[in-house]
Amino acid sequence: MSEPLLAKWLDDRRSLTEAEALELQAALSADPDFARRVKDQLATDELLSRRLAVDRGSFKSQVAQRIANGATDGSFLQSTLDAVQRTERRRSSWRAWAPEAAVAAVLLLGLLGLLLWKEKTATVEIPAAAAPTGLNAQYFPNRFLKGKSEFRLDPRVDFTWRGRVGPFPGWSDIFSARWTGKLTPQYTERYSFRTMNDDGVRVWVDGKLVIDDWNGRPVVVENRGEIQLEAGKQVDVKIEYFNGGDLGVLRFFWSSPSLKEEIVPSSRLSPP
Amino acid sequence: MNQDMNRSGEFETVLRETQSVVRAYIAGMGVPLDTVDDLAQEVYLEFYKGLDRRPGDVEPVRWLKGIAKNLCLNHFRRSKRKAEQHLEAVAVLLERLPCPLEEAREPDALDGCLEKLPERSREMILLRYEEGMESAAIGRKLGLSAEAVRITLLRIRNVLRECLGRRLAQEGSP
Repeated sequence: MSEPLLAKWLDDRRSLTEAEALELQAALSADPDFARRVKDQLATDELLSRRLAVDRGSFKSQVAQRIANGATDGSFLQSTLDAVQRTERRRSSWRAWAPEAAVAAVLLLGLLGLLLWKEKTATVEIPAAAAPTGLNAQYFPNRFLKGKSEFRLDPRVDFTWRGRVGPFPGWSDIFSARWTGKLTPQYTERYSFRTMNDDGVRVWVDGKLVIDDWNGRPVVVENRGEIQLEAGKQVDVKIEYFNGGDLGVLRFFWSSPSLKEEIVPSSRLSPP
Repeated sequence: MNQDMNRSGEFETVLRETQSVVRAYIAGMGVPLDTVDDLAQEVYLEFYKGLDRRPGDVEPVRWLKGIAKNLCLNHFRRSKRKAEQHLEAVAVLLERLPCPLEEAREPDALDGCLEKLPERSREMILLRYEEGMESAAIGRKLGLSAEAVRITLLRIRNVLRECLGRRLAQEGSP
């Protein structure tokens, strides 16, 4: 295997083409010395990252030291939970994460219970009479959100269009859509939004573009974004989507430190 | 409560003593660095959930590595990209080899070696690992191509690996 190709993989583990990945696999199988050199590179790379990534290193040592000291006071619990919440919001950023923090939170939650955390979290129940629910949907028979369109009320955004079909009888599998309405969070917390989409999607919450993936996709992909929301305070939500043909998927999830991930339910959505 | 405290104490000890090894083990299977910590988190959560299921004669680190191996392979398997699916086979091959530098699990073990690097090499390492810059950006800053930066980083890591090996051998000799 060529040195440039190995250097490319070590530089970015996701950068190889299928053929290059196969070449790497073959080289590792055929040449034990090469395999050992690769292990050396990976080990040194990991050691360097732990030594030199300043922000993550200081955070990690701080948490590790407190665990080592057996500190289990309330301030540690809260700071650890905050760290875990930050971590959950920034899971894609490896610098922001320290495994001890999350594990310590689980441990300490087991010891002290969730009460402290829950008490600090404001919640608001939505009145049972709130209706109608869902989002206004505007569908276009093209991928550009332009021209004549069809409207309907969608209770939630959780769609899979298989078999080259569109959202209405007689429509092709090439279309686009825009959902608009209000979103009512239950907690005053940082919310994480996730889409599974094929093809492109954009999501705005409270006027902020939290997910921006306006691209054709050969397979279903995931996208994430986050925003701080206030319990009971309605905010605008807008979702735009297009399917360039064939399979079409759009699923819209949310989660927060107090909310296990779920499809955003119709009870939390209302038309504008 | 006492049982919980024992369980917690055991877990804290395992966490403190093994987290470096577990992270290195995951990285040693070719998992991207920005995913290593996510997977390590899941490993410890699984370990904690199954604390009572671990046979007494199995060392915690061995148990942890078993969990880590499965989670790493799942990570590659779940990928939609064909290339990454081939990297599952790469991970299996790499996993069979021992992890080098396990004795150097404290990252400051590198310090003496970093100091010996030529100024330009040290700058490149800091840009890459401290600043988190990509090779193309490092290249623009230093007047090199991205490929030249990648190759140079590869060679600098070789130098550091050899230096660390020598230091560890010296420390281990009577």
